[in-house]
Amino acid sequence: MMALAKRNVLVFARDRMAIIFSMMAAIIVILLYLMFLRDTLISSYPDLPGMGQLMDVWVMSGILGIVPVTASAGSLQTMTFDKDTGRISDVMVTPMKRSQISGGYILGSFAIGLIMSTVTFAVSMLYLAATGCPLDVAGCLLAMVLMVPSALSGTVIIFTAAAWIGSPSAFSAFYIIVSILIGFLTGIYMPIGTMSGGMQTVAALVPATHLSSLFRRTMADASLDSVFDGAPAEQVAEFRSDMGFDLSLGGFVFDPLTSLLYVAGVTLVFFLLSILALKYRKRCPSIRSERDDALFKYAHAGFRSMSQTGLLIALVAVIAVGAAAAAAFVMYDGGSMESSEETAPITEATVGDVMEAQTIELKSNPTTGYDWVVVSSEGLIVESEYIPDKCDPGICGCGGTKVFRISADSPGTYHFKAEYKRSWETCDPIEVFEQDLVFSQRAEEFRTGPAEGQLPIPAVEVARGLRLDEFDPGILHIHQREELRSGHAEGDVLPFESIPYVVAGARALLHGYYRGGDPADHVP
Amino acid sequence: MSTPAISVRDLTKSYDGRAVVDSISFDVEEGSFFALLGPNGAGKSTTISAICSLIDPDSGSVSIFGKDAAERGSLMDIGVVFQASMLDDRLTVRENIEVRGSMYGLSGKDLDEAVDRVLKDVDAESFADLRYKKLSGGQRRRADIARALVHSPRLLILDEPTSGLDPQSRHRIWETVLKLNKEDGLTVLLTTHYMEEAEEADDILIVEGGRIAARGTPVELRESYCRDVLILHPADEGAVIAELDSAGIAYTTDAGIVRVELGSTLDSVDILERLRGTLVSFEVRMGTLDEAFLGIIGRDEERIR
Repeated sequence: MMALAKRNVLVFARDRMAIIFSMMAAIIVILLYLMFLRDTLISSYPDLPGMGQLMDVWVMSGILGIVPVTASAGSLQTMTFDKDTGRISDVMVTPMKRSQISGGYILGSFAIGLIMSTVTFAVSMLYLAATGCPLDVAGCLLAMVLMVPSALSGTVIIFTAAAWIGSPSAFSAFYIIVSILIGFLTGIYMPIGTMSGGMQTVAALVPATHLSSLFRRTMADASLDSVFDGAPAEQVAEFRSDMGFDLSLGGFVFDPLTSLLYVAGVTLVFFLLSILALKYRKRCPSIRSERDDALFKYAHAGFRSMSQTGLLIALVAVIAVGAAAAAAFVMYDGGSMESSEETAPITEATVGDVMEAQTIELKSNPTTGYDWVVVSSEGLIVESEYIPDKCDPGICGCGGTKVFRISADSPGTYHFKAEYKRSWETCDPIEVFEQDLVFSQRAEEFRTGPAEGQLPIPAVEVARGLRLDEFDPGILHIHQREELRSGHAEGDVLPFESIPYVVAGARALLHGYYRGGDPADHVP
Repeated sequence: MSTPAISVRDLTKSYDGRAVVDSISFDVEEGSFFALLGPNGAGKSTTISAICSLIDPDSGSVSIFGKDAAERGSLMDIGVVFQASMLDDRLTVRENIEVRGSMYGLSGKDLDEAVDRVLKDVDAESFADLRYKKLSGGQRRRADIARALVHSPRLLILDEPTSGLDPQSRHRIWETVLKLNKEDGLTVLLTTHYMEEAEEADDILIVEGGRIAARGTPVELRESYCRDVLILHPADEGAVIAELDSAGIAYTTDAGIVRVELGSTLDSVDILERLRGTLVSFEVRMGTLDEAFLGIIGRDEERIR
């Protein structure tokens, strides 16, 4: 058994194309990551330092979940090839038992999965260490241990597929499909959080996703903790589930133990299936008769050329699909995750003090007949002005910028909506701009407000679900969505300076008002 | 009598309801050189597969040196050279043989020695460290034989070992195999298309349509299945024909050549005596194994019709 395993490793190790192809999924992920994903992901969290490193370790640990699968498939190609070319006969005339022969292929594939994981791990570690990514030594050691069940699970699952599929050309096709899809299914091409609900369920069913998640937990947690140090629990939880650290399936949230148990269970099912396959698909290889020989040689040559063509097609397909995924991801998230100046979406709020106007600038070109029309501005005082771009005299049709200066009389959150349309047309506007605006109490008022008294530290009542935030130094904003950390509940009273300084997430909706009152009243 | 190297009894194997091997029985003596002949699809490869435990027979049994082939324990005694190349292209000859040797339980020094020994036996030392892929056809075959011998089997099975090789490589392989048989006492079972190779065999079994068509030494087969031919080159064809007609001897003519099939070689003396003076030259051609083979197979084909 060891001899056959060793032979399989050796045959694989000598086949450079097989090695490259077995790493193709990982290589494509890294290329896509470097070309598109990294920047997109980082810009989704503009306020968090160290996000780049977190993303690096995130993608690397995700890859570790898929490498054993593709490496096993690459290695088990040898088995389907051996069966097809009759090479297996040469093994079967040795006194090895059939179970030992199957065992030899599984063991060889397991070893290759482990070796390729180790190489990937080592390269990742070198890169991450070189870029100063925060790593937890214990976590990384745990990840190395985790590579064993990971390689075993990948091997068993792919072996089962190979046992059922049988023909090498069909297995090659399967291998190509796996290489293309696995990056999706495990949420590496695009984070799980950006997938549709159905896809998320599918992803959570794939064992490799769980392994990726486990690798993320072991390797990337240290970096995550350092990036999100002091961040609200809910934001951290959302990030963890979006990026596939924490998986859930139909409301059930997996922890490392249940993830491992799930992987073990699925692997066991596949193992039983492989026994069934060997039982029902038992084809005794025989020495081919001379009559088949010509056909066999032809088929053999055909397979070789097919596998090369297949390789090329697969390469192109993987790149195309990956690029499409990245593009879809960028389009999907570009709008919501990147807050642009011109068309910030509705979830974004700008914040300012009462009595101080906030400015919104929108590109406009009235020479086309289109203009920005304010359709919603309740409670707001809106002034507008059109500033044409500087262009050569005599040139018509030159665009410009419509500038809205918006202010409010009293603190609160307001909604502003404008449509870019021709005022005489009834059809839908060609562009819509919406924005929440938050006007808060002036810092000055707070500082010198009714709290003036004997207390050196002012205290503030914290209402249900409120979160204090700071944009301008000294101005309090109350973050509607976030719960206070450290178990503070509604009605708690906190000293002002003990309220953690929080950087809002990009999607935070802010409500800027101060629930006043005399701080002196709230001192415990 | 010693235990036969191979003993096949009533071996039957069908695929899709068609009997590929139909109740074949034969023995191969230890130390002999045994040739299994037959046209394509005759059941040779299936018979060999059963001998190597690669297939389970539908009925009948095969034993190797007294051990039941179905038990796979007999495989330690068998070395097989398959028709197609079975070694790994990307491994060197030595690596290939080492890997296969360790599949037979060899390890460490024993394995190294075995590998060196077989490489020497087949004269493959010069290309032992080349990758199998880079070898010529003849070199590959020698490597294949070395692999078959690595565990020191007592029986070597060669399935068309020289097909597709140039005459020089074929000759070389042949020398190696004969040496192993004659000098080392290795029992050899061979299938081949080349009758001249079968000429060297101690024993020939011809199978056709899954059944045994003939069995014997090359000499016996020639005697039973083909005749010597007297080939006459007449000075005066008409006179020769008239003489043969009057003597009641059957003949055929072809482009001035007259052929007479002989019951035995000595019959030619009488005929030549009668024709003295009318011939330019004559030739008594001995029947070849090829002719015997064609005779047997042709006879069967006629029978099938």
